[in-house]
Amino acid sequence: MRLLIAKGLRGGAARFGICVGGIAVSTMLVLVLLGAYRSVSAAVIQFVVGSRAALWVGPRGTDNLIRSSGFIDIGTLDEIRRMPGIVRVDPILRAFVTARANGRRLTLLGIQFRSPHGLGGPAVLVAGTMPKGRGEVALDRSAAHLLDTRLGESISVNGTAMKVAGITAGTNLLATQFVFGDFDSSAQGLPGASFGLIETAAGASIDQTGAEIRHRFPRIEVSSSDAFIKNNLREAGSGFLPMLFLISFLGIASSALLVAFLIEGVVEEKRGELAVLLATGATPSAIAAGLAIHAAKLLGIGIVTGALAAHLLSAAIDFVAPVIPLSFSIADMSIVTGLLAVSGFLAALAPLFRLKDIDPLEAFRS
Amino acid sequence: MSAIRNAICFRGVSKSRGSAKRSVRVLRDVSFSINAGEVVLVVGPSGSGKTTLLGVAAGLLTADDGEVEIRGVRIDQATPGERRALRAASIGMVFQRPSLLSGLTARENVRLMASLAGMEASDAQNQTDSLLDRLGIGALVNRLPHELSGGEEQRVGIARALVHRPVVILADEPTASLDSAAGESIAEILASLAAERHTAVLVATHDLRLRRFASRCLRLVDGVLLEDALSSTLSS
Repeated sequence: MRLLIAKGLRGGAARFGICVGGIAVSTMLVLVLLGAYRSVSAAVIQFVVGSRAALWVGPRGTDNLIRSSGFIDIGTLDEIRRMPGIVRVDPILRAFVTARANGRRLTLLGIQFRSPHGLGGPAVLVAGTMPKGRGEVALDRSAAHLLDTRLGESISVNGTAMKVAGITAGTNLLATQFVFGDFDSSAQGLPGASFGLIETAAGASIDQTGAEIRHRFPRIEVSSSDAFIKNNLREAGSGFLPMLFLISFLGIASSALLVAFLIEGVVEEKRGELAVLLATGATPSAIAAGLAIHAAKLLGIGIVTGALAAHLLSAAIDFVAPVIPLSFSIADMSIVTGLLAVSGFLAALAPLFRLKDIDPLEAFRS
Repeated sequence: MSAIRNAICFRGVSKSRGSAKRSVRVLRDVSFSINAGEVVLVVGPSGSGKTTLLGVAAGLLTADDGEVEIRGVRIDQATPGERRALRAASIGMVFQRPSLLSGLTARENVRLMASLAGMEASDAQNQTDSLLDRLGIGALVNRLPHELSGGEEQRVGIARALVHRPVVILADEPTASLDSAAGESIAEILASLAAERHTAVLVATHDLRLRRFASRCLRLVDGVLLEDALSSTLSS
């Protein structure tokens, strides 16, 4: 019976379609924003995990890659290397660089590591090889697209010509992208490295090793790999998350308003039919349930359409212009669709309360 | 016993409408009864209380004084929930405009009423199809209301009113939105189906052409049921 009432009270197809479209766009907006944030997080995690370092050391107060400055001198890194439980310490230099190619200009986050096999190199190469010594770089895939550059071609990095030996993936932070070069040929004349990446011996306690480094070198910052990931996610999210929450709130609110608008329209437009239903013995709760089913259908179609459209958009962007990576997870999808569904359903309650204003006697007067 | 034999019975019913300061007595000591299978017209000018009479009969309004029974059940003493259940089970309604649910086909509109009355699915299906056939719209069962003419819509409305085998049908100006031929046809079908099914019919109308389908005609003026007025109405 409730399904029949829901079917009977459906509004015009055009209005329903517009509302579905609005909810789908809101869903897509929130998912795309969240997907973009997740891709940045994934890039951070992939780089730190892929660096194979158990511990990261840097100048005091520098606990992340994204916002950092200062140097740690190479002599200190050499002393750390000689400590028990440590098998390897490699320096990396992190600096913003200006890349130019084909008349285009791009600011990139340069990571100089002991190429080709030192700690801190790119985790995923989608084409080519690791840069080998002076004159070669591995360039992020999005940056290559933005510079209209292909593997084997040359780009200018801070005025020096470099051959693109490799193309990397998962190295796009949206605001900037990574370019990997050789540390030893880049760091000449500089006071040291940005970070030291430490590989511990098998069986050595990472926490204990970190504590010993801290004890012996109180003026440097020591972070485990996990802590370093957390610090970088904090920095990546600090600018992005408030905006993400604000826009998501607006998207979810507009979706909820569309549901309320549609149900309000049904209650207003079909007042005569609702009066007949009430007069002939339908309970207000059965009618409310019918309208709630209508709202649920609207939300369901809108949200599923939006989620599918977000995935299609992601695939299309990746295929046409891979500059905005989007990363979707089932957990994120569940949270977003749940929030949209709950808010839409709550918004539908307001017009449902107006059912009590309909006098069944109106059926005799219409 | 007589009350139970009657499909619907009003005894000394009065009803006022409006606010406490500007209360208007719409029905004054109204008494009448209708037997099963009988068609009774209530005629009267606009504002005479016809709609209020139907509202009280349907339990949509509560009488201030008097008694209203539907096959022996005091609807005036029932709770709102009981009145709703009584309407769904024992009362059929035909409106000036059928107000069919626009998203449902003719068949679904009728079946919805059967569902509201708690009929079993197979019984509801059989009753629906047989009534729509009987009303001459068996070929239109899958059409939406906007695909039907006014007369066809009203026939669906009649099927909706009859599908759950009600004790009484309350009809409010059932022919007012139809041309005269369609109106007469609708009245004839309603009267013949009511007789077949032993359903009492109370019709509030301005349309005196319906008198030939009625067994009695009551006249309501300023809330007073003046007389059993078939002959006087005919002569006027």
